[in-house]
Amino acid sequence: MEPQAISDGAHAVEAIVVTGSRTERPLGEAPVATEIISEQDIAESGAQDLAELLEGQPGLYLDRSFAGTSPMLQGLPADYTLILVDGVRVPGRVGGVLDLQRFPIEDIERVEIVRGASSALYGSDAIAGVINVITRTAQRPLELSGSGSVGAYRNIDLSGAAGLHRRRWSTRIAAGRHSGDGFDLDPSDVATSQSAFEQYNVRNQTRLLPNDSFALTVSTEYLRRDREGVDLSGGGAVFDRHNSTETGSILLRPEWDLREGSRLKLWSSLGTFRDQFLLDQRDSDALDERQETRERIGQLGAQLDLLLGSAHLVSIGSEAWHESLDTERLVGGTGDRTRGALYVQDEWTLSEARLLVLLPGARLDLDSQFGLHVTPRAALRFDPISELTFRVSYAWGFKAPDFRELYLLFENPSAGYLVEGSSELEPETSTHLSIGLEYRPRPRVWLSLQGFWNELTDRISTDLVPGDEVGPRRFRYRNIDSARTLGAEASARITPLPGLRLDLSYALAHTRDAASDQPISGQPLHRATLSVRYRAPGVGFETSSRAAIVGNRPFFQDTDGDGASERRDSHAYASVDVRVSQALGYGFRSFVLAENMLDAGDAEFLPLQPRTFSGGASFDY
Amino acid sequence: MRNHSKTRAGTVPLRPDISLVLLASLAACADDLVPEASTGGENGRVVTEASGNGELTTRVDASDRERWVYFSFVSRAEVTPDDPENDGDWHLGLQRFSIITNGGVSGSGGAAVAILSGATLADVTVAPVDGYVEDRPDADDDDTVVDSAFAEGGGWYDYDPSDNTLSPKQIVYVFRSGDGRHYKLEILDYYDTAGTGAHPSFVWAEL
Repeated sequence: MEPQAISDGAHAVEAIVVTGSRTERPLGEAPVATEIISEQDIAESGAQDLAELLEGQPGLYLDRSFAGTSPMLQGLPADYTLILVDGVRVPGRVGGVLDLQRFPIEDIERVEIVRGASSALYGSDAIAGVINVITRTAQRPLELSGSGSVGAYRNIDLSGAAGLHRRRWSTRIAAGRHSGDGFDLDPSDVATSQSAFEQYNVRNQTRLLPNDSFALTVSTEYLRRDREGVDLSGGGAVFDRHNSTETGSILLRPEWDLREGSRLKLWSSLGTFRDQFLLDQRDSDALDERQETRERIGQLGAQLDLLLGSAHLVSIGSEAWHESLDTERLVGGTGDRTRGALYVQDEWTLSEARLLVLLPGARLDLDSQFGLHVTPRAALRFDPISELTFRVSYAWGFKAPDFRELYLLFENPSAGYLVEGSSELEPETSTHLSIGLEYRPRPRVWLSLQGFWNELTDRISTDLVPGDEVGPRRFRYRNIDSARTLGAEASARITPLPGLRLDLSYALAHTRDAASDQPISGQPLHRATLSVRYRAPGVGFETSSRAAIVGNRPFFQDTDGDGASERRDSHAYASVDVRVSQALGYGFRSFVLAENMLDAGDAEFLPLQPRTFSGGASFDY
Repeated sequence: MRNHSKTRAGTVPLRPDISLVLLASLAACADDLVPEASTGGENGRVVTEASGNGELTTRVDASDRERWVYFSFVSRAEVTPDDPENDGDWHLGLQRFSIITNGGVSGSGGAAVAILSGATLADVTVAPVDGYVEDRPDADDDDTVVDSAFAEGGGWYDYDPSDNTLSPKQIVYVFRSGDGRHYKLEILDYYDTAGTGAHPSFVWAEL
């Protein structure tokens, strides 16, 4: 079967996925529903970073804030989704979220998305789901590739990669430079809507296979990202803002194949993150601010997958994790914590003929701040006929209070309010239920319907501390809130003709925050996506279009000063991207990309880059 | 063939070492960001300038949370009393958004203030005969500052919680000093020209 035929099929069942059960599984046999954005999807998307790549993904909404672009799943805010790179945590959360724009496309082989609580395998933060970015390895004896693209707002993307693959080793090095001028959706003031940026990144992935049963993977990465913009305070102060972040990481992953399908995996990683934040007030030094944040995450893990008989694949894993943070915003200027975890999972195949798999598992986390926390999960997959898959998952999730919530002491110098952390916080907890159906009536038609329910308790929220002054209000983090999200997602993939693929999706997410008795801020109730891809057989012509239609989003702010928040809704919008590319021979390809064709976006609620055209060329040898 | 691949493999383990060096040098990679020094602006905690029509504009840097800035309508400048509660030289005391007067519980200067809501400075040509209030002890309210005329009716400002900003209400205050002189004043802003808070400015004239 040629590669084209695989991905053109209704569902690339041969693709290997790892995120749902933490064991490598062909997608078609995965006990936990896993979505995959394949290497080919990535190439055809024209995306330059992970944020652009996820833009058209079904049932996923990208939140854009000062902290960057981050994903929201199942109607929950972005800090309830765990983002992993090659299965490990990475440092650099700002305001609780990782900026997806920092992950350059040239490093990404595929992206796996698992919806719903996965704390039973991954621990904290995996409440709404897990997004696992799998980085590239060299696949061919000699690989050389490069890409250059230039677009409006002086968006310039340059990247290159070289790889070697031999029988006993492989290595790949990729580097990129990405920059853009940012934009301003409200020219009536000096403030900018999105910062100008400049990023340099380099990554190496080396695999050693000294014998048939052992493999060692070493990944290293360095990334520097500078962002500049202009801020305006309520009092009229104008600030030139400059953010400079550096990320470095190293991951070592030895793996042993033991007898009869059993496997031992170890991993250790160290990630460092340094953020320099500068606010330079114009015409005065009174409010100048410089903050430096250093974060370090060290992880050690081991997982043993044991095939017991033919029915049980038991995974036993253990992880240790240490995180430290140095920033002036914390009381004492520093915070650190250690967590150890143990998890067990049994993938129990009760029937192979009519596939019936039961997946019970549980994880125990012991944290230096909040102590013990247990999260179980039970999942089931049943294929009553080969065309139909039924899945159900019941799981608990949790989210540890972050350093900000624990130790923050933040005073807004110009506005006059104060936010303080509380070391007494408990983790936020969730109960998750999802039921899904996949139907493959014909080889070229794939349909899926999933319902989800999340019940969150002990949510951490800022609470106004009865004040002793009128101006600076004091807020403190407390476990005071609860919330519920309930919804359904329907997707269809149809390949009516060779080379033509249609993807349709609709997601409904009903959310309710208990404290305010209102929907969760910024969550759209409705979202739909449509994507059409056509690849003309034999002539090297490709075109892809995708549209995301997002309903009204509610926002809450006390605009009249009565102490209660008023609801304001952002308008519904549609973002439409079209890409056309043509092979030129000898591995070269040229492309033209039009993004945000309908010019959606507004300064207040949706800092989306206005309509942008770009073009470029790539080669792949 | 096997030998060949072994030799090649032998060269590879160097790579992690290079990576470790790269990682170790990480901290020193980017230069430290430093704010540029801005010039001009600040030349004293209290600056008074003529603003036409016989009116004067006074700008105060009241940003220090630990100390009050004392102002005298006579010297048109900051005064620094050793014992503010028993000193007649100062008229107004300012700290952040709080303004006190040298009268009542705040001082022995005998000052009092009349509040003319909705009035503009030009409207007020003669001092009102009555309606003057002295600083009183802090009542059971949201703040811990003495209740001066400037805190009456929720204070001299409107607070916007959406962006945490203060803006002055349309009020003319008539200040009566202990020696019977009257000054009309209107607060212009809580922010200086660069937008820094706790830098109140007011326009005033003697009546």
